[in-house]
Amino acid sequence: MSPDPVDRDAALRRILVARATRAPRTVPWLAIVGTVGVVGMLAGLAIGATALRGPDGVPAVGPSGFDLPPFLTEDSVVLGTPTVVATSDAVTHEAGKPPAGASGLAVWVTCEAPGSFELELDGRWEGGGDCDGGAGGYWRYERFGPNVVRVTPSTEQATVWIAWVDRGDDTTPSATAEAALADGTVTEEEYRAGFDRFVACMADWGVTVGGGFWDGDRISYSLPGHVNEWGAEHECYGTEFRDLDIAWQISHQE
Amino acid sequence: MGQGTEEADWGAALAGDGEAFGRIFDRHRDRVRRHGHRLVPTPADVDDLVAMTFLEAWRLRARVRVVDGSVLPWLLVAATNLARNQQRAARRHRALLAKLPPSTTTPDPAQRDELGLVARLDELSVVDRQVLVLCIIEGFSEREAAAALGVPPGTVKSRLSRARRRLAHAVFTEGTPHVS
Repeated sequence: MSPDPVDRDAALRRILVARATRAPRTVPWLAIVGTVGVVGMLAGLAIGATALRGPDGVPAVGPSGFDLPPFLTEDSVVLGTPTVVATSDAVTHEAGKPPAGASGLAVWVTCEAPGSFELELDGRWEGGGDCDGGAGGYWRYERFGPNVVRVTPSTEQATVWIAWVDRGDDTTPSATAEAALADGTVTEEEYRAGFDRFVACMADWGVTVGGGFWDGDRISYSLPGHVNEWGAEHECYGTEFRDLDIAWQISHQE
Repeated sequence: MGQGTEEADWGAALAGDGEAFGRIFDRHRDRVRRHGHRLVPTPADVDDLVAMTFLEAWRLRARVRVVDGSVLPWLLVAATNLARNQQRAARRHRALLAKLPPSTTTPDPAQRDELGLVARLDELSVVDRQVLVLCIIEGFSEREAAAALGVPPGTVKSRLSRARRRLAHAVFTEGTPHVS
């Protein structure tokens, strides 16, 4: 008769219960900068626990902590102390060299009043959107770049949160992709081969990648709307094409 | 074990009731473990697969589908997907898996892959494998499988037909069913 793995199951159950039990996750403040037109490099600024004031004079967020952006999963670990900036103008933050274990940069923008923001990373436009409900995302860092984050809000009062994170659910490049990246440059042949592996991986998930034609200096393609089901794009793009795509586009941007 | 329905427990877990997620685990761990014996070679792999299946269920909770009041179909498909890339999935959860006591599970002869179906899963695409596991191996209806996978019933039917054809071709052209 086989032994009952009850001890292991009991330990696993305790972990699952703890994970599912709602508890606030907070991180400490580091840099809180005044609200008027801050533009420039903010790395290294540490003004202390100055309470950020909202339009009504009430602290917008407490000085003792800051809720983690909701898009970070429970598996994510914030590395070091996040930078938090209160601003009404564009801010630029040089994140510098990624710390050991970092899988990306997390940026979260909240606005006190309806407004929007745009985000650039190392000089390239990455996206934007409405920020009055909070918005942002997770960006792979550029291993060859300086990792300069620039956030431009179009609102009177915004708070920008930037941190290096080790996102537990992140995918890592396949051995083939790593080999192509190893010398610090991505050739057109390596770029095209990475795309072909991405397409093949998606096909294995039952997803047909559309387009795939050469558009000036890069491959243009499209994906059906349901593609994220079961994480097909997350896995296939992350393992086979993401880092090659980023490196190629940066080295060929205008 | 139960306090109310499974669907209620799932809803409570999503609202922050950790013990409700524990009850989901109590309900389905043995079924997921039995399924795991078909999918991976060693008892230790089975235990890791069980752990990863429930950890992934929580991590991907926004995508979990409740079919006829149960998350079991989703769990079984998740286990099937995880088994395909177990090494990669294990890296994601390596710190947690290392904390768990050693596996004491032994092989389950009741879960032998007599027809060699499970051993053939790797020959199918992910989507074909999912419908085969749910409809042929686990006995869910095409309607239930469609609900679990979030696709129309006709899609399940066509995928199932394709998977059957491919498996039949693979098994019978070699003459001897592969038994793991």
